[in-house]
Amino acid sequence: MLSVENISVSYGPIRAIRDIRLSVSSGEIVALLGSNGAGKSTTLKALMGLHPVSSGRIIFEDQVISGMATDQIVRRGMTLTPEGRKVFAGLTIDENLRLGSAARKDRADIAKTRAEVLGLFPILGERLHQFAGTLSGGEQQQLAIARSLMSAPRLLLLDEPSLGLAPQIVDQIFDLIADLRQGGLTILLVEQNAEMALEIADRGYIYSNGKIELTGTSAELGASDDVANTYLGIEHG
Amino acid sequence: MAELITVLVNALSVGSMYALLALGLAMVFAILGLVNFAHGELIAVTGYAMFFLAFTGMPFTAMVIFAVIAAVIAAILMERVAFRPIRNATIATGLMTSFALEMIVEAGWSNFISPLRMPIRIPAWMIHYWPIADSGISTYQGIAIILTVITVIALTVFLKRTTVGLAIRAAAEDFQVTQLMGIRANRVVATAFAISGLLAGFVGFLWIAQRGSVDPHIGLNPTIKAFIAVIFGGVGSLSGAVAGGLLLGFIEVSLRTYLPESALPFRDAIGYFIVILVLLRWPDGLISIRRREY
Repeated sequence: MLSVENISVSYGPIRAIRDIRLSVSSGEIVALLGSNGAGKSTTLKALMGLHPVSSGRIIFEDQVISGMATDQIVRRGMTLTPEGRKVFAGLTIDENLRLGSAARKDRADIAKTRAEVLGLFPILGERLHQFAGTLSGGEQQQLAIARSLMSAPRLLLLDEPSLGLAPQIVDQIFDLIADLRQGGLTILLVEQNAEMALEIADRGYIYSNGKIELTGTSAELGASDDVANTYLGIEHG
Repeated sequence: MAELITVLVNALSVGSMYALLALGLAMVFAILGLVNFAHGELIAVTGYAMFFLAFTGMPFTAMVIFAVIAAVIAAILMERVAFRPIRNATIATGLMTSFALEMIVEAGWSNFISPLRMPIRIPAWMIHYWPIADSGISTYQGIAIILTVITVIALTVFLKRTTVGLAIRAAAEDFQVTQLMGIRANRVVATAFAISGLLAGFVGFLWIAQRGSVDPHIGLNPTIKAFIAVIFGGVGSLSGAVAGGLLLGFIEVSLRTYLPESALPFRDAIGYFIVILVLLRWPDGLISIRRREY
Protein backbone atom coordinates (compact mmCIF):
# COMPACT_ATOMS: atom_id res chain seq x y z
CA MET A 1 0.00 0.00 0.00
CA LEU A 2 2.76 2.41 1.01
CA SER A 3 6.33 2.12 -0.04
CA VAL A 4 8.97 4.59 1.07
CA GLU A 5 12.16 4.39 -0.98
CA ASN A 6 15.26 5.92 0.59
CA ILE A 7 13.85 9.32 1.49
CA SER A 8 15.91 12.01 3.20
CA VAL A 9 14.73 15.28 4.74
CA SER A 10 16.94 18.19 5.73
CA TYR A 11 16.29 21.21 7.91
CA GLY A 12 18.76 23.67 6.47
CA PRO A 13 22.18 22.04 6.71
CA ILE A 14 20.95 19.37 9.13
CA ARG A 15 19.81 16.00 7.82
CA ALA A 16 16.79 15.09 9.94
CA ILE A 17 16.25 11.69 8.35
CA ARG A 18 18.41 9.84 5.83
CA ASP A 19 17.68 6.97 3.48
CA ILE A 20 14.51 5.86 5.17
CA ARG A 21 13.12 2.68 3.59
CA LEU A 22 9.90 1.24 4.85
CA SER A 23 6.68 -0.29 3.65
CA VAL A 24 3.17 -0.78 4.91
CA SER A 25 0.83 -3.41 3.52
CA SER A 26 -2.93 -3.14 3.42
CA GLY A 27 -4.55 -4.04 6.74
CA GLU A 28 -1.37 -3.79 8.80
CA ILE A 29 -0.50 -1.77 11.88
CA VAL A 30 3.14 -0.74 11.58
CA ALA A 31 4.92 1.07 14.42
CA LEU A 32 7.83 3.48 14.15
CA LEU A 33 9.75 3.43 17.43
CA GLY A 34 12.83 5.05 18.88
CA SER A 35 13.99 7.89 21.05
CA ASN A 36 12.84 11.49 20.88
CA GLY A 37 14.22 13.41 17.93
CA ALA A 38 15.17 10.27 16.02
CA GLY A 39 13.15 11.39 13.00
CA LYS A 40 9.89 9.47 13.35
CA SER A 41 7.59 12.50 13.25
CA THR A 42 9.67 14.01 10.45
CA THR A 43 9.05 10.85 8.44
CA LEU A 44 5.28 11.17 8.89
CA LYS A 45 5.32 14.85 7.93
CA ALA A 46 7.41 14.06 4.87
CA LEU A 47 4.89 11.38 3.87
CA MET A 48 2.14 14.01 4.03
CA GLY A 49 4.11 16.52 1.98
CA LEU A 50 4.55 18.86 4.93
CA HIS A 51 8.34 18.61 4.62
CA PRO A 52 9.95 18.41 1.20
CA VAL A 53 12.05 15.28 0.68
CA SER A 54 15.52 15.98 -0.69
CA SER A 55 15.89 12.55 -2.22
CA GLY A 56 14.02 9.28 -2.62
CA ARG A 57 10.42 8.48 -3.55
CA ILE A 58 7.18 7.82 -1.72
CA ILE A 59 4.70 5.53 -3.44
CA PHE A 60 1.12 5.24 -2.21
CA GLU A 61 -1.18 2.76 -3.95
CA ASP A 62 1.06 2.61 -7.03
CA GLN A 63 1.33 6.37 -7.41
CA VAL A 64 4.35 8.51 -6.63
CA ILE A 65 3.15 11.06 -4.07
CA SER A 66 6.47 12.63 -3.06
CA GLY A 67 6.39 16.24 -4.23
CA MET A 68 2.60 16.42 -4.13
CA ALA A 69 0.81 19.07 -2.08
CA THR A 70 -0.60 17.94 1.27
CA ASP A 71 -4.22 18.39 0.20
CA GLN A 72 -3.63 16.17 -2.86
CA ILE A 73 -2.26 13.41 -0.66
CA VAL A 74 -5.26 13.65 1.68
CA ARG A 75 -7.59 13.42 -1.33
CA ARG A 76 -5.81 10.22 -2.37
CA GLY A 77 -6.72 8.52 0.91
CA MET A 78 -3.87 9.04 3.34
CA THR A 79 -3.96 11.41 6.30
CA LEU A 80 -2.14 12.21 9.53
CA THR A 81 -3.41 12.77 13.06
CA PRO A 82 -0.64 15.07 14.26
CA GLU A 83 1.36 14.92 17.45
CA GLY A 84 -0.19 16.89 20.29
CA ARG A 85 -3.69 16.38 18.83
CA LYS A 86 -3.85 19.87 17.32
CA VAL A 87 -7.62 20.16 17.35
CA PHE A 88 -8.79 23.63 16.33
CA ALA A 89 -9.48 24.88 19.85
CA GLY A 90 -11.46 27.97 18.84
CA LEU A 91 -13.75 25.97 16.55
CA THR A 92 -16.60 23.80 17.73
CA ILE A 93 -16.44 20.02 17.56
CA ASP A 94 -18.93 20.13 14.71
CA GLU A 95 -16.74 22.62 12.83
CA ASN A 96 -13.65 20.47 13.41
CA LEU A 97 -15.45 17.47 11.96
CA ARG A 98 -16.77 19.47 9.00
CA LEU A 99 -13.23 20.56 8.16
CA GLY A 100 -12.17 16.92 8.33
CA SER A 101 -14.38 16.16 5.34
CA ALA A 102 -13.65 19.43 3.54
CA ALA A 103 -11.89 17.70 0.66
CA ARG A 104 -14.85 15.44 -0.11
CA LYS A 105 -17.79 16.30 -2.33
CA ASP A 106 -20.48 13.63 -2.01
CA ARG A 107 -22.79 14.81 0.78
CA ALA A 108 -24.43 11.44 1.28
CA ASP A 109 -21.00 9.80 1.66
CA ILE A 110 -19.91 12.44 4.15
CA ALA A 111 -23.10 12.00 6.19
CA LYS A 112 -22.46 8.23 6.27
CA THR A 113 -18.88 8.68 7.51
CA ARG A 114 -20.07 11.19 10.07
CA ALA A 115 -22.64 8.77 11.45
CA GLU A 116 -19.98 6.06 11.69
CA VAL A 117 -17.51 8.39 13.38
CA LEU A 118 -20.06 9.66 15.89
CA GLY A 119 -20.99 6.03 16.59
CA LEU A 120 -17.34 5.36 17.38
CA PHE A 121 -17.01 8.48 19.57
CA PRO A 122 -20.41 9.09 21.21
CA ILE A 123 -18.93 11.76 23.49
CA LEU A 124 -18.31 14.00 20.47
CA GLY A 125 -21.91 13.71 19.34
CA GLU A 126 -23.08 14.95 22.72
CA ARG A 127 -20.88 18.04 22.52
CA LEU A 128 -21.08 19.06 18.88
CA HIS A 129 -21.47 22.75 19.61
CA GLN A 130 -18.83 23.06 22.31
CA PHE A 131 -15.47 24.56 21.49
CA ALA A 132 -12.86 21.88 20.99
CA GLY A 133 -10.57 23.68 23.42
CA THR A 134 -12.95 22.87 26.28
CA LEU A 135 -12.46 19.11 25.84
CA SER A 136 -10.10 17.08 28.04
CA GLY A 137 -6.87 15.72 26.58
CA GLY A 138 -8.31 12.29 25.91
CA GLU A 139 -11.43 13.74 24.30
CA GLN A 140 -9.27 16.00 22.14
CA GLN A 141 -7.34 12.95 20.98
CA GLN A 142 -10.62 11.28 20.09
CA LEU A 143 -11.68 14.37 18.18
CA ALA A 144 -8.33 14.53 16.37
CA ILE A 145 -8.71 10.92 15.23
CA ALA A 146 -12.40 11.43 14.40
CA ARG A 147 -11.49 14.48 12.31
CA SER A 148 -8.92 12.44 10.40
CA LEU A 149 -11.46 9.67 9.79
CA MET A 150 -13.86 12.22 8.26
CA SER A 151 -11.62 12.32 5.19
CA ALA A 152 -12.32 8.57 4.77
CA PRO A 153 -8.64 7.56 4.65
CA ARG A 154 -7.42 4.09 3.72
CA LEU A 155 -4.09 4.71 5.43
CA LEU A 156 -3.99 6.64 8.72
CA LEU A 157 -0.75 8.00 10.14
CA LEU A 158 -0.91 8.48 13.91
CA ASP A 159 1.76 10.58 15.60
CA GLU A 160 2.13 9.89 19.34
CA PRO A 161 -1.54 9.29 20.10
CA SER A 162 -0.76 8.50 23.77
CA LEU A 163 1.28 11.64 24.44
CA GLY A 164 0.31 13.37 27.67
CA LEU A 165 -2.70 11.17 28.39
CA ALA A 166 -3.54 9.29 31.60
CA PRO A 167 -2.78 5.53 31.43
CA GLN A 168 -6.46 4.59 31.45
CA ILE A 169 -7.16 6.90 28.51
CA VAL A 170 -4.11 5.54 26.69
CA ASP A 171 -5.63 2.04 26.96
CA GLN A 172 -8.85 3.33 25.41
CA ILE A 173 -6.98 4.97 22.53
CA PHE A 174 -5.02 1.79 21.81
CA ASP A 175 -8.21 -0.29 21.91
CA LEU A 176 -9.65 2.15 19.43
CA ILE A 177 -6.64 1.82 17.11
CA ALA A 178 -7.05 -1.96 17.17
CA ASP A 179 -10.78 -1.55 16.41
CA LEU A 180 -10.04 0.75 13.48
CA ARG A 181 -7.77 -1.88 11.99
CA GLN A 182 -10.51 -4.47 12.48
CA GLY A 183 -12.70 -2.11 10.44
CA GLY A 184 -10.24 -2.32 7.55
CA LEU A 185 -8.06 0.74 8.11
CA THR A 186 -4.30 0.48 7.64
CA ILE A 187 -2.28 2.30 10.28
CA LEU A 188 1.26 3.66 10.54
CA LEU A 189 1.89 4.54 14.16
CA VAL A 190 4.61 6.63 15.80
CA GLU A 191 4.82 5.96 19.53
CA GLN A 192 7.02 6.69 22.52
CA ASN A 193 5.25 3.98 24.45
CA ALA A 194 7.04 1.12 22.69
CA GLU A 195 5.62 -1.68 24.80
CA MET A 196 2.03 -0.78 24.04
CA ALA A 197 2.76 -0.04 20.41
CA LEU A 198 4.34 -3.48 19.92
CA GLU A 199 1.29 -5.07 21.50
CA ILE A 200 -1.02 -3.88 18.75
CA ALA A 201 1.41 -3.54 15.84
CA ASP A 202 2.26 -6.32 13.40
CA ARG A 203 5.70 -4.99 12.60
CA GLY A 204 7.99 -2.21 13.70
CA TYR A 205 10.92 -0.09 12.59
CA ILE A 206 13.37 1.25 15.12
CA TYR A 207 14.85 4.67 14.51
CA SER A 208 18.07 6.06 15.81
CA ASN A 209 19.63 9.39 14.79
CA GLY A 210 17.53 9.82 11.69
CA LYS A 211 18.09 6.31 10.37
CA ILE A 212 16.30 3.00 10.65
CA GLU A 213 18.49 0.73 12.74
CA LEU A 214 16.34 -2.36 12.97
CA THR A 215 13.16 -3.83 11.68
CA GLY A 216 11.16 -6.92 12.46
CA THR A 217 7.86 -8.30 13.60
CA SER A 218 6.54 -7.03 16.91
CA ALA A 219 7.28 -10.39 18.49
CA GLU A 220 10.92 -10.28 17.36
CA LEU A 221 11.45 -6.70 18.43
CA GLY A 222 9.66 -7.15 21.73
CA ALA A 223 11.60 -10.28 22.63
CA SER A 224 15.06 -8.90 22.04
CA ASP A 225 16.71 -7.61 25.20
CA ASP A 226 19.17 -5.73 23.10
CA VAL A 227 16.43 -3.82 21.34
CA ALA A 228 14.61 -3.17 24.57
CA ASN A 229 17.60 -1.75 26.38
CA THR A 230 19.31 0.11 23.61
CA TYR A 231 16.47 1.72 21.76
CA LEU A 232 13.22 1.54 23.61
CA GLY A 233 14.03 2.01 27.28
CA ILE A 234 11.98 -1.02 28.24
CA GLU A 235 13.21 -2.89 31.33
CA HIS A 236 12.88 -6.61 30.87
CA GLY A 237 12.32 -8.13 34.28
CA MET B 1 -25.00 66.07 25.13
CA ALA B 2 -24.46 67.49 21.66
CA GLU B 3 -20.72 67.25 22.15
CA LEU B 4 -21.06 63.65 23.32
CA ILE B 5 -23.03 62.72 20.19
CA THR B 6 -20.39 64.39 18.03
CA VAL B 7 -17.60 62.52 19.80
CA LEU B 8 -19.44 59.19 19.51
CA VAL B 9 -20.21 59.67 15.82
CA ASN B 10 -16.64 60.71 15.04
CA ALA B 11 -15.14 57.96 17.18
CA LEU B 12 -17.32 55.31 15.58
CA SER B 13 -16.65 56.43 12.02
CA VAL B 14 -12.89 56.82 12.51
CA GLY B 15 -12.72 53.65 14.61
CA SER B 16 -14.71 51.75 11.96
CA MET B 17 -12.09 52.50 9.34
CA TYR B 18 -9.25 51.42 11.63
CA ALA B 19 -11.22 48.29 12.49
CA LEU B 20 -11.75 47.31 8.83
CA LEU B 21 -8.08 47.87 8.01
CA ALA B 22 -6.94 46.06 11.14
CA LEU B 23 -9.22 43.14 10.33
CA GLY B 24 -7.53 42.65 6.95
CA LEU B 25 -4.06 42.90 8.47
CA ALA B 26 -4.96 40.53 11.30
CA MET B 27 -6.44 37.93 8.98
CA VAL B 28 -3.33 37.75 6.81
CA PHE B 29 -1.06 37.80 9.84
CA ALA B 30 -3.00 35.07 11.63
CA ILE B 31 -2.70 32.69 8.70
CA LEU B 32 0.76 33.43 7.30
CA GLY B 33 2.56 35.23 10.12
CA LEU B 34 3.07 37.96 7.53
CA VAL B 35 3.15 41.59 8.64
CA ASN B 36 1.99 43.28 5.47
CA PHE B 37 3.30 46.84 5.39
CA ALA B 38 2.08 47.16 1.82
CA HIS B 39 -1.54 46.90 3.02
CA GLY B 40 -1.93 50.68 2.91
CA GLU B 41 -1.18 50.68 -0.82
CA LEU B 42 -4.58 49.06 -1.31
CA ILE B 43 -6.09 52.34 -0.11
CA ALA B 44 -3.98 54.14 -2.70
CA VAL B 45 -5.14 51.69 -5.39
CA THR B 46 -8.76 52.49 -4.49
CA GLY B 47 -8.02 56.21 -4.58
CA TYR B 48 -6.22 56.21 -7.93
CA ALA B 49 -8.86 53.94 -9.41
CA MET B 50 -11.49 56.51 -8.36
CA PHE B 51 -9.34 59.31 -9.78
CA PHE B 52 -9.08 57.68 -13.21
CA LEU B 53 -12.63 56.32 -13.29
CA ALA B 54 -13.90 59.86 -12.68
CA PHE B 55 -12.76 60.74 -16.23
CA THR B 56 -15.22 58.23 -17.68
CA GLY B 57 -18.08 60.27 -16.25
CA MET B 58 -19.70 57.22 -14.67
CA PRO B 59 -21.92 57.73 -11.61
CA PHE B 60 -20.12 58.00 -8.27
CA THR B 61 -21.58 54.77 -6.89
CA ALA B 62 -20.41 52.74 -9.90
CA MET B 63 -17.02 54.39 -9.60
CA VAL B 64 -16.75 53.31 -5.96
CA ILE B 65 -17.76 49.73 -6.76
CA PHE B 66 -15.14 49.42 -9.50
CA ALA B 67 -12.49 51.04 -7.29
CA VAL B 68 -13.18 48.54 -4.49
CA ILE B 69 -12.98 45.69 -7.02
CA ALA B 70 -9.61 47.12 -8.10
CA ALA B 71 -8.41 46.90 -4.49
CA VAL B 72 -9.52 43.26 -4.26
CA ILE B 73 -7.68 42.40 -7.49
CA ALA B 74 -4.60 44.30 -6.27
CA ALA B 75 -4.63 42.34 -3.01
CA ILE B 76 -4.86 39.01 -4.84
CA LEU B 77 -2.05 40.05 -7.19
CA MET B 78 0.06 41.19 -4.25
CA GLU B 79 -0.13 37.72 -2.72
CA ARG B 80 0.44 35.96 -6.02
CA VAL B 81 3.42 38.01 -7.15
CA ALA B 82 5.17 39.07 -3.96
CA PHE B 83 4.18 36.81 -1.08
CA ARG B 84 3.48 33.36 -2.52
CA PRO B 85 7.10 32.79 -3.60
CA ILE B 86 8.27 33.45 -0.04
CA ARG B 87 5.42 31.59 1.70
CA ASN B 88 7.70 29.32 3.74
CA ALA B 89 10.49 31.81 4.35
CA THR B 90 11.21 33.47 7.71
CA ILE B 91 9.17 36.30 9.23
CA ALA B 92 12.05 38.69 8.49
CA THR B 93 11.86 37.83 4.78
CA GLY B 94 8.14 38.57 4.80
CA LEU B 95 8.74 41.90 6.52
CA MET B 96 11.42 42.95 4.03
CA THR B 97 9.27 41.89 1.09
CA SER B 98 6.25 43.83 2.27
CA PHE B 99 8.41 46.92 2.96
CA ALA B 100 9.95 46.66 -0.48
CA LEU B 101 6.56 46.23 -2.11
CA GLU B 102 5.23 49.25 -0.24
CA MET B 103 8.14 51.42 -1.39
CA ILE B 104 8.00 50.22 -4.99
CA VAL B 105 4.27 50.87 -5.30
CA GLU B 106 4.53 54.25 -3.59
CA ALA B 107 7.40 55.25 -5.89
CA GLY B 108 5.26 54.08 -8.78
CA TRP B 109 2.43 56.47 -7.88
CA SER B 110 4.90 59.36 -7.52
CA ASN B 111 6.76 58.72 -10.76
CA PHE B 112 4.07 57.50 -13.10
CA ILE B 113 1.12 59.57 -11.88
CA SER B 114 2.16 62.46 -9.69
CA PRO B 115 3.78 63.11 -6.34
CA LEU B 116 1.08 65.73 -5.70
CA ARG B 117 -2.42 65.49 -4.33
CA MET B 118 -4.86 64.68 -7.09
CA PRO B 119 -8.36 65.98 -6.44
CA ILE B 120 -11.33 63.62 -6.66
CA ARG B 121 -14.73 65.26 -6.86
CA ILE B 122 -16.99 63.93 -4.14
CA PRO B 123 -20.73 64.46 -4.74
CA ALA B 124 -22.43 66.85 -2.35
CA TRP B 125 -24.71 64.17 -0.91
CA MET B 126 -21.68 62.25 0.36
CA ILE B 127 -20.57 65.13 2.54
CA HIS B 128 -24.05 66.33 3.39
CA TYR B 129 -24.37 67.02 7.12
CA TRP B 130 -27.54 65.75 8.80
CA PRO B 131 -28.30 67.70 11.99
CA ILE B 132 -29.40 65.69 15.02
CA ALA B 133 -30.35 67.78 18.05
CA ASP B 134 -27.46 70.26 18.36
CA SER B 135 -25.08 67.81 16.77
CA GLY B 136 -25.17 65.79 13.56
CA ILE B 137 -23.66 63.26 11.25
CA SER B 138 -22.41 63.49 7.68
CA THR B 139 -23.41 60.95 5.07
CA TYR B 140 -19.97 59.37 4.74
CA GLN B 141 -19.72 58.95 8.52
CA GLY B 142 -23.08 57.20 8.50
CA ILE B 143 -21.92 55.02 5.61
CA ALA B 144 -18.69 54.21 7.48
CA ILE B 145 -20.56 53.02 10.54
CA ILE B 146 -23.26 51.09 8.68
CA LEU B 147 -20.76 49.55 6.24
CA THR B 148 -18.57 48.38 9.11
CA VAL B 149 -21.49 46.82 10.97
CA ILE B 150 -22.69 45.02 7.84
CA THR B 151 -19.16 43.92 6.94
CA VAL B 152 -18.41 42.52 10.39
CA ILE B 153 -21.74 40.63 10.44
CA ALA B 154 -21.27 39.30 6.90
CA LEU B 155 -17.69 38.29 7.66
CA THR B 156 -18.75 36.51 10.84
CA VAL B 157 -21.39 34.53 8.94
CA PHE B 158 -18.85 33.75 6.21
CA LEU B 159 -16.26 32.56 8.73
CA LYS B 160 -18.77 30.35 10.54
CA ARG B 161 -20.86 28.93 7.72
CA THR B 162 -18.66 28.34 4.70
CA THR B 163 -15.92 25.75 4.39
CA VAL B 164 -13.39 28.36 3.24
CA GLY B 165 -14.40 30.50 6.20
CA LEU B 166 -13.89 27.60 8.60
CA ALA B 167 -10.57 26.90 6.91
CA ILE B 168 -9.47 30.52 7.42
CA ARG B 169 -10.27 30.31 11.15
CA ALA B 170 -8.55 26.95 11.37
CA ALA B 171 -5.51 28.21 9.46
CA ALA B 172 -5.28 31.11 11.90
CA GLU B 173 -4.73 28.48 14.59
CA ASP B 174 -2.54 26.07 12.65
CA PHE B 175 -1.94 26.30 8.93
CA GLN B 176 -0.19 22.93 8.59
CA VAL B 177 -2.96 21.01 10.30
CA THR B 178 -5.50 22.85 8.13
CA GLN B 179 -3.74 21.46 5.07
CA LEU B 180 -4.03 18.00 6.62
CA MET B 181 -7.80 18.46 6.28
CA GLY B 182 -7.29 18.26 2.51
CA ILE B 183 -7.73 22.00 2.13
CA ARG B 184 -5.79 23.81 -0.57
CA ALA B 185 -3.38 26.20 1.11
CA ASN B 186 -3.36 28.58 -1.85
CA ARG B 187 -7.13 28.87 -1.85
CA VAL B 188 -7.25 29.82 1.84
CA VAL B 189 -4.48 32.38 1.50
CA ALA B 190 -5.90 33.91 -1.69
CA THR B 191 -9.33 34.22 -0.05
CA ALA B 192 -7.83 35.90 3.02
CA PHE B 193 -5.99 38.39 0.80
CA ALA B 194 -9.12 39.02 -1.27
CA ILE B 195 -11.06 39.78 1.93
CA SER B 196 -8.30 42.05 3.21
CA GLY B 197 -8.40 43.82 -0.18
CA LEU B 198 -12.17 44.24 0.01
CA LEU B 199 -11.96 45.74 3.50
CA ALA B 200 -9.09 48.03 2.48
CA GLY B 201 -11.14 49.06 -0.56
CA PHE B 202 -14.02 50.08 1.71
CA VAL B 203 -11.63 52.09 3.87
CA GLY B 204 -10.06 53.64 0.77
CA PHE B 205 -13.45 54.81 -0.44
CA LEU B 206 -14.40 56.26 2.97
CA TRP B 207 -11.02 57.92 3.45
CA ILE B 208 -11.16 59.54 0.04
CA ALA B 209 -14.76 60.63 0.44
CA GLN B 210 -13.59 62.49 3.51
CA ARG B 211 -10.46 64.03 1.98
CA GLY B 212 -11.54 64.56 -1.62
CA SER B 213 -8.09 63.76 -2.95
CA VAL B 214 -5.53 61.01 -3.37
CA ASP B 215 -1.73 61.14 -3.05
CA PRO B 216 1.05 58.54 -3.00
CA HIS B 217 1.26 58.51 0.81
CA ILE B 218 -2.46 58.27 1.46
CA GLY B 219 -2.28 54.74 2.89
CA LEU B 220 0.53 55.32 5.36
CA ASN B 221 -1.20 56.99 8.28
CA PRO B 222 -4.31 54.77 8.46
CA THR B 223 -2.16 51.66 8.09
CA ILE B 224 0.07 52.64 11.00
CA LYS B 225 -3.07 53.19 13.06
CA ALA B 226 -4.41 49.82 11.97
CA PHE B 227 -1.17 48.11 13.02
CA ILE B 228 -1.50 49.69 16.45
CA ALA B 229 -5.13 48.56 16.54
CA VAL B 230 -4.06 44.98 15.75
CA ILE B 231 -1.49 44.92 18.56
CA PHE B 232 -3.83 46.76 20.91
CA GLY B 233 -6.63 44.30 20.23
CA GLY B 234 -4.46 41.19 20.47
CA VAL B 235 -2.28 39.93 17.66
CA GLY B 236 -3.89 37.13 15.67
CA SER B 237 -7.38 37.72 17.03
CA LEU B 238 -9.97 38.96 14.54
CA SER B 239 -12.46 40.21 17.11
CA GLY B 240 -9.49 41.84 18.85
CA ALA B 241 -8.66 43.74 15.66
CA VAL B 242 -12.18 45.15 15.50
CA ALA B 243 -12.18 46.03 19.22
CA GLY B 244 -8.70 47.57 18.94
CA GLY B 245 -9.69 49.67 15.93
CA LEU B 246 -12.86 51.01 17.53
CA LEU B 247 -11.13 51.76 20.80
CA LEU B 248 -8.22 53.49 19.09
CA GLY B 249 -10.72 55.64 17.19
CA PHE B 250 -12.47 56.46 20.42
CA ILE B 251 -9.25 57.41 22.23
CA GLU B 252 -8.09 59.54 19.31
CA VAL B 253 -11.36 61.44 18.89
CA SER B 254 -11.89 62.02 22.62
CA LEU B 255 -8.39 63.41 22.99
CA ARG B 256 -8.92 65.67 19.99
CA THR B 257 -12.14 66.97 21.55
CA TYR B 258 -11.37 67.19 25.24
CA LEU B 259 -7.66 68.00 25.42
CA PRO B 260 -6.89 71.67 26.15
CA GLU B 261 -5.66 73.63 23.13
CA SER B 262 -2.07 73.70 24.38
CA ALA B 263 -1.91 69.92 24.67
CA LEU B 264 -3.42 69.19 21.25
CA PRO B 265 -0.10 68.82 19.42
CA PHE B 266 0.65 65.91 21.78
CA ARG B 267 -2.63 64.10 21.21
CA ASP B 268 -1.08 61.20 19.25
CA ALA B 269 1.67 60.84 21.85
CA ILE B 270 -0.90 60.79 24.65
CA GLY B 271 -3.09 58.34 22.73
CA TYR B 272 -0.17 55.93 22.23
CA PHE B 273 0.80 56.36 25.86
CA ILE B 274 -2.65 55.04 26.81
CA VAL B 275 -2.13 52.13 24.43
CA ILE B 276 1.25 51.39 26.04
CA LEU B 277 -0.34 51.48 29.51
CA VAL B 278 -2.97 48.96 28.41
CA LEU B 279 -0.32 46.72 26.86
CA LEU B 280 1.78 46.89 30.03
CA ARG B 281 -1.19 45.56 31.94
CA TRP B 282 -2.33 43.08 29.23
CA PRO B 283 0.73 42.35 27.08
CA ASP B 284 -1.27 40.07 24.77
CA GLY B 285 -3.71 42.85 23.93
CA LEU B 286 -7.38 43.22 24.71
CA ILE B 287 -8.48 39.87 23.31
CA SER B 288 -5.66 37.41 23.60
CA ILE B 289 -5.54 34.20 21.61
CA ARG B 290 -3.78 32.72 24.62
CA ARG B 291 -6.79 33.56 26.80
CA ARG B 292 -8.82 31.98 23.98
CA GLU B 293 -12.00 33.60 22.80
CA TYR B 294 -14.40 30.74 23.36
